[in-house]
Amino acid sequence: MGTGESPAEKDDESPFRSQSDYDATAMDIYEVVFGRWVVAPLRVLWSDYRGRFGLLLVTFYVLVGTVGVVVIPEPSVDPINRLLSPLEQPDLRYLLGSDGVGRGLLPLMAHATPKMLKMMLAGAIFGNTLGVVVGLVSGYTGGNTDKILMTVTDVVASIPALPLLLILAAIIEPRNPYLIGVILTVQAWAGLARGIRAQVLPLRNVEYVEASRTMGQSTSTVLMKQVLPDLLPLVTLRFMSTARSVIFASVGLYFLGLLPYTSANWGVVLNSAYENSNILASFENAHWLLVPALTIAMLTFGLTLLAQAFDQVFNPRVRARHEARKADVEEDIDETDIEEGGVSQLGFQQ
Amino acid sequence: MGYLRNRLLQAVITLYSIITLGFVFIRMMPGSPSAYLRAEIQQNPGAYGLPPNPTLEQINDVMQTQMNYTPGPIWEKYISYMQGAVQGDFGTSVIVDPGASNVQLILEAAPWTIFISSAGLVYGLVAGIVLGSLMAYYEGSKMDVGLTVSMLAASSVPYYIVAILLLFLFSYNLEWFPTGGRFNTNTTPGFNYPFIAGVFNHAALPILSGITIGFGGNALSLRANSIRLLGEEHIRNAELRGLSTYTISTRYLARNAILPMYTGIVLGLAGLIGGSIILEEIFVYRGMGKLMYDATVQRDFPLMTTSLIFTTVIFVAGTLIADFTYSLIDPRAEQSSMG
Amino acid sequence: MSESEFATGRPQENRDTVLEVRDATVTYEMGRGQARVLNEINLDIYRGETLGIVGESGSGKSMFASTLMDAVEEPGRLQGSITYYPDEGDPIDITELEGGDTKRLRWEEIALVSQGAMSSFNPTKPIRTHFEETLSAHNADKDEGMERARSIMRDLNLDPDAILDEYQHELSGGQRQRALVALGLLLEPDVLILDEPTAALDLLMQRSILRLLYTIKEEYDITLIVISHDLPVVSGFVDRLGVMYAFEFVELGETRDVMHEGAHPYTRALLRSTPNLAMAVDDIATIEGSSPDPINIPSGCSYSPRCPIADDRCTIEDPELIELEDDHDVACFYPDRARKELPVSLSEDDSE
Repeated sequence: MGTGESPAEKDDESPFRSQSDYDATAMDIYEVVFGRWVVAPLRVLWSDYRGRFGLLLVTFYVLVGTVGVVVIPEPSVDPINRLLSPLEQPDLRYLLGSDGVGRGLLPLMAHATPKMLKMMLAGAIFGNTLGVVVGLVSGYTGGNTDKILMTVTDVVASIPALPLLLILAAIIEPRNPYLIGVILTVQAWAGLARGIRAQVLPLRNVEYVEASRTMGQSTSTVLMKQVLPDLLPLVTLRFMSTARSVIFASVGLYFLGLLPYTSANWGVVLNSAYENSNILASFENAHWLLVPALTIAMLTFGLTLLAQAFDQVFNPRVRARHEARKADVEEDIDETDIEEGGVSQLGFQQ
Repeated sequence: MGYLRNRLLQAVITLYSIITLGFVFIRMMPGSPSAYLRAEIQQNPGAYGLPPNPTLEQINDVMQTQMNYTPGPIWEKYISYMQGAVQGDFGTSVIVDPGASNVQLILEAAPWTIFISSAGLVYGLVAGIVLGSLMAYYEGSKMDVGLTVSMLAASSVPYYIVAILLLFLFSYNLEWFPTGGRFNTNTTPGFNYPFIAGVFNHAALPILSGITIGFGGNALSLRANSIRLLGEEHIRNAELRGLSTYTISTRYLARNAILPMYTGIVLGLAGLIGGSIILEEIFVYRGMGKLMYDATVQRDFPLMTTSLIFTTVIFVAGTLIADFTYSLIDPRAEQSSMG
Repeated sequence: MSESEFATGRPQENRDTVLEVRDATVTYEMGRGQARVLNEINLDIYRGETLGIVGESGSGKSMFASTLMDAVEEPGRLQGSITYYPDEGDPIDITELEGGDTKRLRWEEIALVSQGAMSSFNPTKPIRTHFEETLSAHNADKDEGMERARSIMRDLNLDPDAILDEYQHELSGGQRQRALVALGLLLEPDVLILDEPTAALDLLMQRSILRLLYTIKEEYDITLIVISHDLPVVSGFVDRLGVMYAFEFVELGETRDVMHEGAHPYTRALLRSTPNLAMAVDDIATIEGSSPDPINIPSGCSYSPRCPIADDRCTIEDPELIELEDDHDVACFYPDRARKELPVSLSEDDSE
C-alpha cells in the first residue's frame, strides 16, 4: 500500500466515513421531504386554477429574468424609433413599443427583471427568517425573553411602513438589490413573528415536543426538527406576500425617485411616462404607461394567486372542506358525528 | 383592567421608541446634520433671514435656533430633544420651509390627508362588504368565481398604478377631474358651494385610488367570514326557528362577519396614510404625504422624522381606540383579550 | 345508567300516532353518483312517548331529525311523506307545506334541539334576544311568551334573570344545553327532537339533563325524540328504541325488548361493544369493518359485509323491517340465529 493512499484508507475507517453513510440516509430523508413538501404541494397547486395560473405567471418572470435577458438585447436610446406602438416594428426590441427616447419597452422591462427578482428573494428570505427566529425563540423560551421580544415586535409593527422606508432609503441610499430587499422588509417581519409565536405557544406542550425536551435534546434541535415543520405553511404563505410587498414598495420608491438607480427599472419607466404629461394626454402612447403597469401588476397578481393556492394546499381545514365539497354532502349529513366519531366512514373513506 | 393597562403601557413604549428612533435618524443623516444645514445656509442665506455672505457667528446663531442645535455631548442633545418632544416641540423644518415649526406644517397638511384617507377607507369598506356578501351569497356560482378573481386582482395591483391609470383616463383624456391640486384656486376657501364642490372634485381620484388599497381584501375576507358562518349551527337554528331571511342575514350573518374586520380597519387607515405619500405625489395633492415626500427629496430630516412620529402616533392612537371599543361591540372580546 | 330509571314501561294500549313517516328517502346528487342518505324509512311515532334513535356516526340519525321537520338542507331531496297529526284538526303532510306554513309547523309544533348546542346561539347576541326574536317571528305575544320562557327555564333549574342577559360564551355547557331546550319549548310544541343532547357534557351533567328532560316531558306533555350515538345513555331513558344502520332502521321496538332480546346482528354487536360495569374489559368488543358509503350501499342487506352470520341470501336480497314479535321489528332474515349465535354479554343484573 503506497503512502499516498493511506490517508484515504484511513478515512475509510474514520468517523468521517460513517458520516458519509449518514449522508446517504440524509439524502433519503431529503427525498422524502422533497416529495412531501415540494412535489405533493406542487401537484395540489396545479390542481387549483389559481395555483396553476399563479405558478405560470411567476415562472414566466423567472424565465424572463434568467433566459430572457440573454435573448433580449439591452435597451438603448434610439432617436429614430421614439414612441413606437407595440408591434409597429417587426423587431424584438420594439415588440411592446418604445418610450420617449426610443428605448424598446420590452428590453427595458426584461432587463429590470433580474434586479427585481433579487430584491424579492432577498427581502422574502430576510424578512421571513427574522420573523421565524424571533417568533420561535419568543414562543418557545417564554418568560422575559418573550416579553422583551414581543415588545420590540409590537413597536416595530406600529411604525407605518412607507414613511419609515422613505427615511431609511434616504439615509442609506442603497443600490445593491439584495440590500434594497432587506431594507424594504425591515418592518415586515414583525407580523410573521407574532404569527409564529402564536403557533409555537400551543406546540410547546405538545407531547412529542415535550418528550424530546425531557430526553435532553437541545432547544435548537427541538425547534428545528419538531416545531419548524409545523410552521412551514405559514412561512410559505408569508414568503409570497413579503415578496409581493417588496415589489409594491420598491416600485413605489423608484417611481417617486427616492431610490438611487443606474439602470432601467419598472418604477422608473412608469415615472418617466407619468412625467410626460403630453404622453398622458392622449391614448396614442398609452403603451408607455400600460406596459410597465401591467408588468408590475401581473407579477403581484401571480404572487397573490400563488399565496391563495398555497393556503388551500396547507390549510387542512380548507382542504378537508374542499374535499368534502367534492364529495358533496358528506359534511352536511352528520357534521358533528364526523368530528366526534373520529373514524366515521363518511369523513375518511374517500 | 390589567389588559387596558398593558395596552396603554405598550403604547407609551412604542411612542417613546419611535421618538428616540427619530433622534437617531436625524443624527444619521448623511454627512452630519450640522454640516448639511451649514451648507444649506451658506448656499441660500436669504431663506434663513441672513444677508448674503453671512459671518460664522450669524450662521451658528441660525443653526442653534433651526435645529435645537445644542452644543455639547450627544446625551445632552438627546435630553434636550426629548424635553422638546414631551412639550410637543419637534423642532423646525430646515429646508422645505425653513424656520417653520414641523408640527405646525404637519397639522396644516394633515386634515387633507385624513379627509381623503378616511373617505377611501369608508368607501373601500362599504364596497368590500357589499361585494363580499354577494360573493358569499352566490358561493360557487360563476359570479362568485369571477368576483373572487377580480378581487384578488384588485388587491394585488399596486394602488399607485391604479392611481396613474385613473389620472390618465379621467383627468388627461376624459378631463372629468383636475390633474392635481386640492381645490379650485379661483374660489374662496370657506363654507361655500364652489369651494366645497372643488374640494370634492379634486379629492375624487385620490379617494378612488385609496379605495383600491383595501376593498379587494375586505371583500375576500368578508366572503370567507360569511361562508364560515353559514356552516355554523346558530344560523341553521335560526332558520329552523322561523326567523326571516332578513333578520338572519343582517343580525346573524353580516354583523358577525364584519366584526372580525373591525380591528383591521385601523391597519387600513395606517396603510392609507402611508400610501398617501405616493398618491398625493401622483395627484399633486398637498397633504401630509406630499409634505413627507418633499421633506425626503430635499433631505429635510427633522421634518421627515417628525412626520414619521406623527403617523406612528395616529396609528398607535387608532389601535388603542379600536382595542378599547371592540369589547363594546363584540361581547366575546372581553373574555378572550382580557384573559 | 340502568335502563329502568326513567322508562315508563309499556306504552299505553290506545296508541295515538303523532308523526307518521312513510317511505322517507333523502338523496343528494353528487359528481360520482346519487347518495342515498336516508333509505325508505317507515315509522310511526306515538303521542307522548319517548323514542330513542341510536346508530353509529353517519348512519343517518341527524338526517332523520331534519327530515321530521322537512328541513333537509339543499341540495338534498326528500321523497315520501311525513304526516303530522295535531291534537285537534286534520292531519298535515309536512312535505306538502309551503313557506309560511312550514315556518309555523317548525318550532310551533315540532322543535329541534340540534346537536351543535354549544354554538346554537348567536355569539354576539344575549340569550334573551333569541327568545324574543323567535316569539316575534311567530307573531306570538311577547310578554306572555317571555313569562313562559322564564317558567320553562325555572323548571330546567336555570335562573332566568341571570341567564337571559348572558351571552352564549358566558354559559356552561349544561346551561347552554338547557337554555336551548327552553328555546325549543318556547312555542309549546307537540314534539321535541333532541339531537345528541348529552354529547358534549360530562357524565354527571348527562344524568341530570336526562332527568330534567324526563320531568319536562311529563309536565309539558310532549313527545320526545332523542337521537344519540350513546346507547347506554339513551336506553335508560326512552320507551322505544330504534337502531339505525346505513341510513335505515334495522331494529325497532320497546327499549327492554331491544336491549335484552335484540334480534339484529348489528344491534347485538352494538350492545356487545358497549362497556358496562359488570363486564370484563376483554369482553368489550369493537365492530369490525366500517359502515357503508352512501353512494355504494352494498346490494342485499347493507350490514352483510360486516355480519358474522351473513350468507349468500343476505348479499343478494335486502331484508325488510318486519314485525318479529309484538311491537318489535327487525330487518334480518335470521333473527333466531343472531340471538343464539351472537352473545351480547349484557349482564342480567343490569336489567331491572
